[in-house]
Amino acid sequence: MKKPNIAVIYFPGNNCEQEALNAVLASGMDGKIVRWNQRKDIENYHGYVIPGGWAYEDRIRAGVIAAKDPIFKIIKKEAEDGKPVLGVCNGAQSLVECGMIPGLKDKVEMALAPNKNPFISGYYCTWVFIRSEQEKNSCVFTKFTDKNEIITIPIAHGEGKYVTRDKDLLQKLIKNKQIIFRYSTKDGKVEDKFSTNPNGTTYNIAAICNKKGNVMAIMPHPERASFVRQLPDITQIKNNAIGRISEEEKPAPARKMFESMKKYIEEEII
Amino acid sequence: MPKTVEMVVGLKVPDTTAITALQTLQKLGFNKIKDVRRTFYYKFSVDGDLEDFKNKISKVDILVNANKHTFDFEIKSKDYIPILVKNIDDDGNGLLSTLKNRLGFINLKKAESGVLWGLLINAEEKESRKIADKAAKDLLVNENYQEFMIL
Repeated sequence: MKKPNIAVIYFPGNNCEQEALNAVLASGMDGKIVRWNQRKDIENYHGYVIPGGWAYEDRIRAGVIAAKDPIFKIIKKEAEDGKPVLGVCNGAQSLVECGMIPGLKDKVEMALAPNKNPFISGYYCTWVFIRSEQEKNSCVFTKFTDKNEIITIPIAHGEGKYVTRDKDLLQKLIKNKQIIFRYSTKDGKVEDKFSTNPNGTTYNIAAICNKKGNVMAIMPHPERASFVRQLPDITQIKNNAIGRISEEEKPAPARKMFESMKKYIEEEII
Repeated sequence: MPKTVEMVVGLKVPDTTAITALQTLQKLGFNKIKDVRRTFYYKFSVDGDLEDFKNKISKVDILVNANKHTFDFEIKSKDYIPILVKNIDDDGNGLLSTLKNRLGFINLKKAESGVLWGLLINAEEKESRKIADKAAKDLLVNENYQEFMIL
């Protein structure tokens, strides 16, 4: 069977493209880092990952210059045809700034605003817990994730607070089952307070998908939690594996997002 | 009664953000926009001697670094349409606290900050303001967390 082939789209200033590609390859897909100006044949890929970093140095606003790049017109068209698109951190910011997330209207409906937490302003980097909000299979990236499953995952951003001025939008997102992951405690309790909610984001939102479920913007980094060796020592799974290379190279829970992407492509795209 | 002081801080070196904004706007079809400038904007409410405050605030390295910044206490837009962008939920308390508690500006009552864009537009005044409004909405501002004002 033909392997899914993923384009990891690199914009000047990104810095997570190699980790994203590693997660793609480890999940059993083929992939390539494709520069923003190599648009020729981009539509031949089966799916797209927009990695994290600081595209265009976050000039004006995080993700906005990348969002205006012509390559996004092609990606948007391919997503409308059903191909999966995963935007991580800065990639998530671009998906929001180009209107693909939440994608209910043909305009920018949300923003990823500067973090707000009581102790630290600006960039914040730590390990957090996110809870899966939807039933398995509800979106392209959760085919192997149970509802209420907790995933240990890192965040590293200065602008991760999902906000909107549309008073009805949150209810629409809940009703449409577009909120895929929310920040929670280790036990899965969603508390709207620091440090459970690390950046003051609305409704503890960590990841949102479009209505169709094939485009997801996630602020935490699944590619940095795709191998057991990447997890912090405090996690049971890492603790059990320390000192045994074969165990440390095994997949960590966040890799399921990439494996889910693979399964979807095999079932629906190829 | 506190008095108001506005301060704009610009870069001595070429501002790559302003250049990127210009290039992006032109790619988006704003061909009448010929130049973009950007400065940091501060507004302070101060008790006491204003000249003394201005003298001191312009020497605070966190706002003005004499090696790379220029500053002014009035907005000189000349032919540029000025657009002031602020984050809606930035109450300025972080900046106020730093200046007051750490740097000794005890007469400071309130501090606000934002980004002041300047657009040089090749059009009549009325059309220029319309273009500036659209450029703000299409690129310079995300109204889900920011607000803007064309001055």
